[in-house]
Amino acid sequence: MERETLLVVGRPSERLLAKLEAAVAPMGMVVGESP
Amino acid sequence: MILGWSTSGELLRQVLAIAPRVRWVHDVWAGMDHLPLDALRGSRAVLTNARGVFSQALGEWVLAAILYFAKDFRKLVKDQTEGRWVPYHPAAVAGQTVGILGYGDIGRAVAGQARALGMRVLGMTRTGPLPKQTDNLAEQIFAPADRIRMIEQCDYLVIAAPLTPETRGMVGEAEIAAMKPDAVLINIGRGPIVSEGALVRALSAGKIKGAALDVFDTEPLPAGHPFFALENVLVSPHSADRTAGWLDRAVQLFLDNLERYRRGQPLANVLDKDRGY
Repeated sequence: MERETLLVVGRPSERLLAKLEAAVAPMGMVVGESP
Repeated sequence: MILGWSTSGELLRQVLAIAPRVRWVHDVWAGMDHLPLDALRGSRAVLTNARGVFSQALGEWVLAAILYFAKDFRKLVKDQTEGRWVPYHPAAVAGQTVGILGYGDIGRAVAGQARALGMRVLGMTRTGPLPKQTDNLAEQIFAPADRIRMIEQCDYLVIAAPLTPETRGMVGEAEIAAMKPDAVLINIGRGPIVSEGALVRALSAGKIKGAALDVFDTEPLPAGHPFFALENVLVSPHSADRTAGWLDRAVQLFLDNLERYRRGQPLANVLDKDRGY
C-alpha cells in the first residue's frame, strides 16, 4: 500500500514539527518539509 | 496532504503545481486571503483551515478594546505617568450597542463577550438574516446592502469579516460618516476591509471617538503612519489572537481532522474555494 506523505509548507517551530512527526508516525505517515 | 504554515501563498502555489495528487490542504491560519485560491480551485484537494481556534482570543481582545475606550485607560496611564490625580467619568458599556460586520465564528465570539457585558448585539452576514434557532446572541442580523442601517445604531463597530472581493473596502467614506460621533471602530478582520484613508480623516477630524486596530493595509504598519500618532487610535501589531498555546491549538485541530481523514469521516472546517472562506 502506498505510504502517505504530509508535506508541511512553511516553517513551524522545531517543537511543533516534532509534535506533528510524533503524531503521524504511528499512522505510518512521513512528514516532509518544503524548502 | 499538505499542511500550510506559510502566510505567503506563493510557496503553496509552487508546491501545488508539482503535487497534482494532493488530496487535502489544511491551512493553520483562519484567514484565507493569503491562499492561492486560483491554484486551489484548479486542484481536486479539499481545503480546510483553523476556523474557530482563534475566535475566543479575538473576542477577548475586542472586549479589552471596548473597555479601553469606555474607561479611557489612555488617560489613566497618562495621568499616572505624570503623577496627576484627575477624577473623571468613565462610560458604561451595559446597554450600548455593538455591531459586528462579519457575523461568523469570530463574530459570534465577540457577541458572546459583548452580551456578557450587557450590551446589545447587531450583526451583518453575507447572507443576511439567520434562522432564529442558529443564534440567540444578536438582536438583528443585517444583509450587506443594509449595513448603513446597522452602523448608524452602533456605539462600537467591530469588523470581523474575512477579506474577499465583496468585503474589500466595505467600510468606506459613507459607512464611517454613518457612525455616531462617539462611536469606536474595532478591526480584527483585515485592514483592506476598511478604507484607511477615510478612517484616518475621520479620526483626525474627531468625527468618531476612536479606533482599535489589529490589522492594517500594510503590515508591519510603516514608520510615520498617522495611526501611530493619533491619540484616539489603539494600534496592535496583528497579535490579538496570539495567546499562549495558540499554535498548539491550531496543530491539535489539524491532528483531530487528520484522525477524521483516516477514518473516512467528513473533515471539519471545509472551506468554499470559490467563495473565499
